[in-house]
Amino acid sequence: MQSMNILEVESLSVRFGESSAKAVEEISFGLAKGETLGIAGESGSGKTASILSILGLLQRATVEGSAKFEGQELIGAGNKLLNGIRGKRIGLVLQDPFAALDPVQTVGHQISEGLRASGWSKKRAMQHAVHLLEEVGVPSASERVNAYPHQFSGGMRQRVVIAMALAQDPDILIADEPTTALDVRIQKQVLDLMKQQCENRGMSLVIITHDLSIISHYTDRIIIMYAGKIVEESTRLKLFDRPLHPYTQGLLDCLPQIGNNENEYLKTIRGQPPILGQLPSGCRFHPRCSFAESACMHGPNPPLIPIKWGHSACIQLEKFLRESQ
Amino acid sequence: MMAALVETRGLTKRFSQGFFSSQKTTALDDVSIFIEPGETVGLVGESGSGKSTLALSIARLLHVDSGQIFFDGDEITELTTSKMRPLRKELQFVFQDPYSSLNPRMSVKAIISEGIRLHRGLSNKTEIEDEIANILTTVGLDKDSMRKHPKEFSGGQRQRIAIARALAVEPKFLICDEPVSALDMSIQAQILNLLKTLKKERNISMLFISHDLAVINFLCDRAYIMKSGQIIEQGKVDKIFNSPKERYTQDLLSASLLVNAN
Amino acid sequence: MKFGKYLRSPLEIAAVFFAVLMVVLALIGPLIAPHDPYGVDFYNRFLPPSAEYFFGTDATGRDVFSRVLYGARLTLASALVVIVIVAVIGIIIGVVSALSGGILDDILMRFTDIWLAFPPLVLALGFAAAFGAGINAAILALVITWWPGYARLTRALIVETKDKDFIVAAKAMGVGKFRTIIFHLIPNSLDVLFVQLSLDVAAVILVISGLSFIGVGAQIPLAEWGAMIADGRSAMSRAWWVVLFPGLAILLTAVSFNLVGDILRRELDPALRTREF
Repeated sequence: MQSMNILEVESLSVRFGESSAKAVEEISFGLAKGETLGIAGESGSGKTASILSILGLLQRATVEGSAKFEGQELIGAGNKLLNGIRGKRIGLVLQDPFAALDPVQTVGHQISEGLRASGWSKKRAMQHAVHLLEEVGVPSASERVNAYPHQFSGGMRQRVVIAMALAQDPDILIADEPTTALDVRIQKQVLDLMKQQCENRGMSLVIITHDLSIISHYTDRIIIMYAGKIVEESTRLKLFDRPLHPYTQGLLDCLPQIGNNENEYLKTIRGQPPILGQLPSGCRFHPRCSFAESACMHGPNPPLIPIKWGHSACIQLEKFLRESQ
Repeated sequence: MMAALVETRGLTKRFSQGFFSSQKTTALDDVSIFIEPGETVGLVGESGSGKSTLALSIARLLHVDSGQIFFDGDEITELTTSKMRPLRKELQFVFQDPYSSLNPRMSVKAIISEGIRLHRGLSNKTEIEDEIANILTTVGLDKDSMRKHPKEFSGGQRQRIAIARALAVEPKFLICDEPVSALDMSIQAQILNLLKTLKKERNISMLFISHDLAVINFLCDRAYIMKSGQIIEQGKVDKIFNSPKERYTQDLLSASLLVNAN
Repeated sequence: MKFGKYLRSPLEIAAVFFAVLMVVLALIGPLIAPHDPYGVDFYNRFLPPSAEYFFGTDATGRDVFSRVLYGARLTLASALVVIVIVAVIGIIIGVVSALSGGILDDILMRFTDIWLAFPPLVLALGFAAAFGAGINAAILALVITWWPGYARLTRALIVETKDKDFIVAAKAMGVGKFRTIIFHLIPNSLDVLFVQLSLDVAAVILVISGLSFIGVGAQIPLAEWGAMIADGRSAMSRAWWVVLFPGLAILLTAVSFNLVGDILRRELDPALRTREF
């Protein structure tokens, strides 16, 4: 079962600089071929740090644990190996399209850059760039290929970035908050595009986001992260129907919704996410949890245990499931 | 019908494209809206719709090319800075970015007391400190916060400070420009609850800008939908969201992916 | 290595210590000088350093140590005068230019640019020729050529800050323009400027000494370090102390103020950039 995963992460931990506090602590998850995985969490959850650390993109970070791409270990791998994977086998789309694009190079030049570096001829690489722009839905692709990033609108720029990420036909596409900076209608278009491309190419997709509505529509499986740990792992259909962790429930409850006018006020999670240097003992969520018992505070950090359709890190799971009906 | 607290008539504003260009973009195109006392009105639009421009214009923080702005029955479109000053007490603004809307070099106490000294006629140090302690408690912050500087607070907490700053002068009208868009979901919910509570307890009228329809639905009574500088739809929030008339509004609604929660 | 909160090496401690020492000497130097710095004594010319004359004596028998002490006050005071005047002129013009925008902004900046064209050295020579050489000529020349840089820097810093949300928030609160400038705008934009000022103290010291050395600035018998070097140059081979000690004073003072400026820059904000005018 696990050996079929295209990406297998085990006990991954990330520490920044000289601090001993772990921004990401011993997380484990897998990604199957062709699957779309959503990684959801708020700021400080470690969702971005974990993925960037796998690709060796974090500065001044100590990374421990294992992350195997098609059986090949990425943690601690040399730059040569990682360069061979980044862009070519694993594509990355980040939040701010403007920051990802070089303002002084044409869009076509940037899309074709990786291909040319792999030995393609300039002509063939450019042709492929035009083809990619068409695929991602940029109109007049053969002209726009010579345009500069600032000449595109936000949504179009993100499409260009997606084209860049897809250029070398990677096996995994990782998108970190790909639509946060975009308007709501464009968000849908960009997400539809990514999903469609993944389906066409048999590519796996990882979407990192804080937006649960994106998760609910575009993913197959979801992991919820809080303060550097995975607290729940579930499927798209089940997560919203039957959360396996009080934090997930809390997040779902606090979202305002159209048409839901029964409650005057939103149900909030009291308190704030912890600061890295001041992580609570035991379960990191316990200070904010209505189901917390003394075991939650005094025991070790709860591990992720398999439960029916997913995994949960809540030791009061039974109580939670009972009382949250 | 009650006289509107805030009203705009035919507001138009154009921005020039660049130094050498004679081209102008129209940020506001003949915009007329109103907010009645006690109402919370939503302003919805995508980027470039003109919603922020409208908010800044109403607050007299931006000049308009033509049109009129009325506050509490008086026209304020052309008022000079000194004539506007007493009105600043009644019309307050909460900005989108909690990381840039507070003076990093001022303590929370100094930030909030500035308005109190200007508009509440208090000059006694103890009185002012008590007021600040009260308002901080109202927005859910510890009164020791007043000795700290903005950088010691998280985004959500800074936004509470910004709200405290606005409320400290006891305004009649509050303009909130995407005040929760930069915040995490769980913090967003806290701030939204806070705003709803304040709205009820203090009977403040509000103009609330957001791109998030669910948030508008939660907080607002009525809403205006803006596109390319124009109001293209308006009405009670229930009506707009249940039976939108315009195609654009329908698009916005369906694109606002809604969580399939229980 | 960290000594205290702000200093990271023995060198930095030494720099701060020396800079502070120079300031103290500038204030109390004349009170502790063992001999009259202007007291001529032809019987004791060119005496090497000794217990009585720590730094020896010069061509006219004057105590070099006392002269170096008096020179501290002269040098630092002149540098301070230049820096303060330059900062005041530069900040005022920069603020007015940045906040008025439009035509006034353009006029002021072009006016500033014109002044930038004046070379300090040539101007100093010109003043010396017209009004007679002296430390005042040097100060005047420096003030005239140094302020444009501060005006441009101030304008750039203010323009960058004036549209920030907290400035708009001050306007929304009805805070007056003057108060906004003093309490909101300046404290948040002129960090870079004050760092530049502290770095410039070192530069001004060097220029003033240099001008005095070539005979355009302070004149002998004034106990200015640069002038002292010029005076002792011809006798350098047989009376090295007359040149060495004033030279060391210039070197150590300039270097320590420079280092203090660097420390300030680093501590005020790690993301601070220095600008070249």
